[in-house]
Amino acid sequence: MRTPRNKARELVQTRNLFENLTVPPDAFNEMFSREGQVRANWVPLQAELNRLGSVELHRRMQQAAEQIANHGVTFNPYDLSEGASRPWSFDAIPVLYTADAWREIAAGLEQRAQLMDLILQDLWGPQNLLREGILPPYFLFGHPAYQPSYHGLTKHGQHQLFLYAADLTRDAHGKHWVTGDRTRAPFGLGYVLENRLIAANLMLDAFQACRVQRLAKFFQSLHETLLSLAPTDEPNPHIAVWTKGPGSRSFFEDAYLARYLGYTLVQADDLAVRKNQLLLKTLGGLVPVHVLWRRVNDEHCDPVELTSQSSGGVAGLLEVMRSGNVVVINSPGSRLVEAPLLGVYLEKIAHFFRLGNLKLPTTPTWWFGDVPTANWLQMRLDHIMIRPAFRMDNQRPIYPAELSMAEKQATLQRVLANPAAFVAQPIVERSTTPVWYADQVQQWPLALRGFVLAGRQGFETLPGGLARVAYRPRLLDQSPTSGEKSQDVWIQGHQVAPAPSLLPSPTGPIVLKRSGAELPSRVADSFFWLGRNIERAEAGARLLRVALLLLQNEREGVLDGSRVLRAMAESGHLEPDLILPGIRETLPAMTQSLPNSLFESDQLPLGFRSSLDHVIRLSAAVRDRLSVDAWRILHRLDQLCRRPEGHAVLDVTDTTELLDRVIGMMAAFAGLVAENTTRTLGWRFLDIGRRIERAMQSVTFLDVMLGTTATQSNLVIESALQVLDSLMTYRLRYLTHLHPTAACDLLLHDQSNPRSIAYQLDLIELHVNHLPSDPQAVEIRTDQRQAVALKHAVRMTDPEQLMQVRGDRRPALRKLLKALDGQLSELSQTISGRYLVHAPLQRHLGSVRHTAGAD
Amino acid sequence: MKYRVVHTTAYHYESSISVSHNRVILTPRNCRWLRCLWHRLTVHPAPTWSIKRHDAFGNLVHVFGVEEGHTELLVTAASQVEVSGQTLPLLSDSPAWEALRLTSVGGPSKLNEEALEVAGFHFASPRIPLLPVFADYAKVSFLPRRPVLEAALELTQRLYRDFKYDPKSTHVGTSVQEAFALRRGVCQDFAQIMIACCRSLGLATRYISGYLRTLPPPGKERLVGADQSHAWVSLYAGPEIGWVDLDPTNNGWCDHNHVPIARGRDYTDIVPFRGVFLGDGRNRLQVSVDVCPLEND
Repeated sequence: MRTPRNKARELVQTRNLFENLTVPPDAFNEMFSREGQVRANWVPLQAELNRLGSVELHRRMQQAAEQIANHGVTFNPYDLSEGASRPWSFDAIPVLYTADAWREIAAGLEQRAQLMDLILQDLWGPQNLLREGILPPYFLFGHPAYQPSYHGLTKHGQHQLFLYAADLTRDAHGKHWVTGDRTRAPFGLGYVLENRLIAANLMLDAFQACRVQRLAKFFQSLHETLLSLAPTDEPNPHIAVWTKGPGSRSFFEDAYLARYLGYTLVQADDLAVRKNQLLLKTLGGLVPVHVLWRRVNDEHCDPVELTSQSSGGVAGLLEVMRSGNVVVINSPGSRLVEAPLLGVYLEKIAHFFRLGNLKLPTTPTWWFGDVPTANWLQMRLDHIMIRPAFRMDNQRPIYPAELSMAEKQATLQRVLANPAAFVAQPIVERSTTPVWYADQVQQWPLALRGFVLAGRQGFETLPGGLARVAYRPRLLDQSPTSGEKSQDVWIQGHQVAPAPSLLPSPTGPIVLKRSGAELPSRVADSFFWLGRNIERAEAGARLLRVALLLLQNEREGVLDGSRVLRAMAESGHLEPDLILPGIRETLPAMTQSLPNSLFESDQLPLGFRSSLDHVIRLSAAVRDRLSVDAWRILHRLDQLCRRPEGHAVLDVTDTTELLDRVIGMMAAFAGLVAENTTRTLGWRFLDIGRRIERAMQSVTFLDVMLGTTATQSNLVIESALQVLDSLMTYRLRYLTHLHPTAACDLLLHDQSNPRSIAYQLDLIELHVNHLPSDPQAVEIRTDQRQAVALKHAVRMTDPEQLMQVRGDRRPALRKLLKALDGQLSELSQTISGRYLVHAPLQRHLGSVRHTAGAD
Repeated sequence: MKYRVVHTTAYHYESSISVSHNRVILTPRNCRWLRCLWHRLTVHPAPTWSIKRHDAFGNLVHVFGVEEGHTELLVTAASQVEVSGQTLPLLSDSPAWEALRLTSVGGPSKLNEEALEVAGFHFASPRIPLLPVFADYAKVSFLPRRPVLEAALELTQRLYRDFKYDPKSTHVGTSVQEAFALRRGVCQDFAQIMIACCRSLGLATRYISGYLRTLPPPGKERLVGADQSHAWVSLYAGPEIGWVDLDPTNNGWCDHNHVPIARGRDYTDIVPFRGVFLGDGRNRLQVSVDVCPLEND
């Protein structure tokens, strides 16, 4: 309707996409040899790209873009502060490696993974590297992230590094170098999966022709490895993925991986330590966690032992690790080997551990902390880049060659003031690879990330990786996640047959599970408020639709729609100021402001857009528990209700059309929840939230519409029925005779009308009865009592009596509605207090300081 | 000299706390001039679970959880120790201070057990940055080729002279730079400033927590519980002499009135009482320390 994106562009059909391609001569090219010949393994891909042609590729890329938007890939490295959902850019063309070429890379990656693991085991254990003078003590004790508590967290000989990633580059001779090691919680596996899903779909024929190796086995091994870390006598080991939360950069990936592997996605507040065991707080009580895949920083793991500014983390976690009651991967402290300074010593360390020469070396690294080296480096400033010796955040490298004389001097002074804190490396050389950009093929610099698992059966490299490309090579050096586009990585040729699994056979006995009591309380809380907000948004949309209709009639001078507007203001969907002076005066302002309320949240904290914002935030928090389809609908809804660029104001017709779609999508979401969601406690809390909100909205609405008599009674009743989506039922029963008592019966008492208040209260009681109880308690709970009282309050009244008029008021009806409003709020609070917010704040004890004075 | 030391820490909470998770370092540690004869740590209410272990510096750490409702947490560390005080060589016989610096920030060379331990105390630590201001202040005493103990004693005396003991001027979170600029603080500030000075010159220095026996004014009775937890500095003077302890708050060498508990890089490594609790509200803290000389000594 409004998106300029769909406007057909003039496309020139190109059949030979590679014809006019210039290959930069000074860099290695992944696709073409120095003579300009296509490398043999790229031939099937080239043929397929040419067969598709530019028009078809354009079309498929649009499909892919939509698929990505639907999946809600919200990653954008330039957008960290905002954290807005801007789709990350995916490239149609993959990077190809032959099986032989990849085997060499994999061998190098696995050697490095093993080496890093050995270094960590040594530094947090016997420290032979320091004793033997292989590494300077500064490397360990001078690291700003060094914490004594990391010593001895794992048993002797146990892996500290389970997942390792390395960033690779390729020089002009085609040789691979490592520009960075990632040993905390390497970023990117989720995006690798996502890229594969889209790329294989986009170019299925080429994917098959290239005989691309599958990724699944790596994840299978990962899963088996994590399972094997749990105690052997545990029939159903509990593995959790610990995410920083929806606000964090890696949340999409955390949720994606948790869902792909079937693990519980947890945040620090979901976890607790009791009796030196790691537990997950759920509605059914505390349940043990055996393996924790942490995706948070080392220093945020445990506020009792680690000195960090935040009070987040799980108090006592490190002690649980020391006692062997949980395995945390990668072990806290593993970040130390990410330090670029290690590059100076790595070759020597490899020999120390008898691993031979490095098959995949680090780019040459020089340390300013070494005086002769520092002097030599000063002569070569134009040929190097300067990086911090220890990696703390993603500090960008400095390129002295690109600085003015004054800046260069300042930089040099800063470095020489604390030379040990800096290293130098040659400026990274990168290979180029074809990229689909602006509907043509271009050659862009490439950065490749490979992943290794320290598995039960040795080290295993993912047959694939995360490729980043950028128009300018510098963009790739800025951080390990920078770049403009991302490509899939295809390793060609058949995989070695997977070794038979040594895990308990899948045909053996399994403990069947059905309950959902292990739902984390925080998740239940999100579901409850998701239910309330989606219903609130829907109520807002329905009110707005009817209001717009009435306004249109108003302009023709026929009818009085002020009551619906008042109802909107009462329930927070409209600014109260707008309805005060009388409708005639504010009509022009109204016609403008009503459509805007769809897009703007600042004025109305309970309005449509604010509610929708909450829906998006809350659904992100429970994303691992929503079906993909449900998530997709919400995401599309969010997109739909963003102000289209270039349209300052929507007119009433546009808005009405938009509202029809919005309400349709909300119905689709409700349908998915009703039909495709297992009846877990999560679903129950979602539905309780929805029912409570719907009942509250109806109570407020009925009070405005029917609480007093109206001059244009017919119109008011009709609007009321329309807003509450019951007009059709009414007409079937009473034809065109609009009577307040009949309307009251249908909207308040009728238990067969899914929009009536009685219907909501019935369901609320049903749900509340299914919530977990303390097994020892015999009496019924407060929430149950409140639910029954609500139901009876409605059932014990008679529509005829409620509709009795005194003056221009209906006092009986108003009294009932007021009581219902209060009771619904109380019930909502009871449920919150009992089930949802039982995670009180974690606080630090006041500290004792050493204060003694002089004798 | 024998002492009985009783150190009680009491936290009073405004409302009931469901869970608290604590880590305490309160056990006197044997060294060349101290022997711990016995030690007992009691916790009230009784912890739900507890663990005893040594940390990376060899200090004894007690970790425990109290997992039922409580409004008060009382920890009493009682010990009996024998303190001989340190024996010092002739100051002028100690090595020149430059010889004790780690060569080129520790360009790799083989390290024996002692050297490896010493190496961990050369660098910046969470509370103690290494800065030119500290080095400049220290250099007035650390003149070229001067015997390290002479220089260190003079630095201690200068700190005592230039800085004012003033508990109101700083708090537990005051940075070394701030306290240095104020020229004021308590023993924790004095110790950390002196460590910053020594480490900024490249010398290995440790933060020591412990107790100080306070002597009653002449003619007065000793007040029970009026002693204080204390902190001072330990400086590495080479393999021959080893570590020597200096008390910048009290203008000199540590003696038989000092009872060390734990050693670390700075306060954060050996916080005596560290804990996290679940619940609302504030907590009030009461500490009393009693260092009582034993009669039969």
